[in-house]
Amino acid sequence: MTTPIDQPDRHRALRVQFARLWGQAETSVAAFVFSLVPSFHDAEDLVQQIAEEVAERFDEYDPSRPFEAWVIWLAKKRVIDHFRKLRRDRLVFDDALIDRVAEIHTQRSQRGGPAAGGDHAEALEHCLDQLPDKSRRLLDQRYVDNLTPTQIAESAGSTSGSIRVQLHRLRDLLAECIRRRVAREVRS
Amino acid sequence: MSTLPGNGSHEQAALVDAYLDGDLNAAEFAQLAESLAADSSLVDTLLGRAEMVVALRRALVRRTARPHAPMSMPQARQHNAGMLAGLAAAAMIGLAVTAWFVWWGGDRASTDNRESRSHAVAMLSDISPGSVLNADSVVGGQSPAIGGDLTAGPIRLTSGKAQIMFRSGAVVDMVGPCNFAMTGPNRGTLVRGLIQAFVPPNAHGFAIDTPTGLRVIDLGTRFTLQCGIDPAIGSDRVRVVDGIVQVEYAGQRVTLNATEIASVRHGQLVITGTEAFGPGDSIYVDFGLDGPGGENSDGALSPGHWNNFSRDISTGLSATTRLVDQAVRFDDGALTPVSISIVPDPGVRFGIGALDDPSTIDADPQFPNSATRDTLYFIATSPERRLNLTIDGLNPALRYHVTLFGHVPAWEVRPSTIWSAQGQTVRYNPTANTKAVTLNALRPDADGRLTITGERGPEAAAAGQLNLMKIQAVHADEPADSIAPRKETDR
Repeated sequence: MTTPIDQPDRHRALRVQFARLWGQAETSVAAFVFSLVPSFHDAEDLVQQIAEEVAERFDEYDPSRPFEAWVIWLAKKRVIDHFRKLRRDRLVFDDALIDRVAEIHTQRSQRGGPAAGGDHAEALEHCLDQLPDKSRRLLDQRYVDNLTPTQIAESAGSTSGSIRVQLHRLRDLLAECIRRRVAREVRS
Repeated sequence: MSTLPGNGSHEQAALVDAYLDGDLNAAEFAQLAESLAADSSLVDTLLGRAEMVVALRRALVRRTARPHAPMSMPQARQHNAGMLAGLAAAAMIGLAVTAWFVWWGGDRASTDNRESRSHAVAMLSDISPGSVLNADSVVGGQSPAIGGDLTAGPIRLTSGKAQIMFRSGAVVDMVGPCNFAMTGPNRGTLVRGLIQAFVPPNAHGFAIDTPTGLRVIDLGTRFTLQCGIDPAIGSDRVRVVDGIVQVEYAGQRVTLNATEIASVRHGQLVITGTEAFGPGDSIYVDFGLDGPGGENSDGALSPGHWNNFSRDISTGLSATTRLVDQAVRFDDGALTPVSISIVPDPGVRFGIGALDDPSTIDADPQFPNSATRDTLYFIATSPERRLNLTIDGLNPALRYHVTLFGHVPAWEVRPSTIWSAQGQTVRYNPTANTKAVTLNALRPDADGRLTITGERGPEAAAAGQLNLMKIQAVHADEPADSIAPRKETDR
């Protein structure tokens, strides 16, 4: 069969619409989930489950309303379900605080969304390039190797408190670098 | 990332960071929960820091999966360009993979769909307008459409470009004409043509075979492979754009790093770098008004990447001008060490003109019809004043074919344009010209520089015209006849 490709159908249109909306919202949804479930693996699994649920229920979405708010509503329920499956001794926020975080997240996104756009991604890459090797190694241990500050301290012969402070300062440094870089790009 | 320290006290921000690091004890956690419940600005801080952590993890994981190219080549500026291209590719792949797998897992309403999808190994993720695709492997025997599932089997792209995404997440861009076969959820066979593969971490081990027995196993993240196109450059050829690739052939197994090339020549696997513009490499240049992706420069009917020569040129400039952005790319998208400059003699003016003539030039399908829509032109006060095109970054040990094409519509009277170099002279009449001309086997000087000169014809109405240029490297010892540029129709 030799066919010019020019026949969109409803399924394809829905896929395209879903891909576009999910692509715009995904980073923000991931940040929301991670703010409540600060474990990379658990949070990434949850985001995948949320994506599946959003896709399954995409025909329920009312296009006249903000897509991200609808997704956060679904995500919130997923997070609550996740907490209920955990052992009782795990430290988790209560439902009221989860509601509060979801509410403020939605307000943030209506104010202009999270800073996850191309400008910020490029600024982050630039700022990472400016870091000394030692700082990059520390970030890699935390964010690639997924070690906690306590584990990093054990391997480095340091203290957990010292690693926490170093990570905190690094993130401040990066945040400030990104802010300046983006502001400069906006001005130019 | 938008929330910076200052939203909430410094101590509270540090507590938020420690929480996101998974490093709080029960008392600290209770203190944080209480503070969050009482202080909306601290929740804002938490969300801002979480955004940053997610972005940081993704950026760092991506860097780990994408080893940097050797610093010796390409140069620093090119390295940055490559990094941005890699980021863009990774972002696109990430989005497309998520969307596809989500649909894959999410479409549970239809049993038929689920059953047919269980046999699918890939989906058609993109196709350029006007492309002609012949696929026996479309699930349900439907016409191939974007988003459509593909089972194992052949797929033939007669013209244009198409993209396939495997279940593994590997993405293959096909450039027509191209015969490809999907043989599994993370492997395929390139029968003939040119592909570029993007392989995200989840798809490491993605393998492509060719009929000659070459096997390319991607260890992340991007390579191009051509097969059966041009015997003069070896029957198969793989170039690593980013990351690492393992190549196997006739019992040999080698690992290629970014910028390295492996070719099959006379039954042997030959490894070369790209420190020079090597045999088999081609550069296509479109002298057009639009940037990459623009209407006039997309090269949609031609293989591979087109370099666009536009923004720095406007009518009447007389200074030396380098190719736009200076990042000249090979036809498979990899960065080159080449730069191209225009050096006019005194009394010569040049610019880019839009002709907007939808003429077709099917008589020479080596170049796209969009070539007729804009042109480099030069006007001289007398015919002996010339426009010089200088190409730097070539390998002095090699020879280079320079193929030129000029065309203007019949209502533009441009009697002739003459190009010469090293004793060779070619000419064309741009008015309704449909043929390319070639200066064969030109030899760069010891510094790797080659200059060709353009003259306008002696006629009163003459102005030199150039729409497109192709530069192709060949071995110095091969006779010109056997290495003459091939037309697409020969492929």
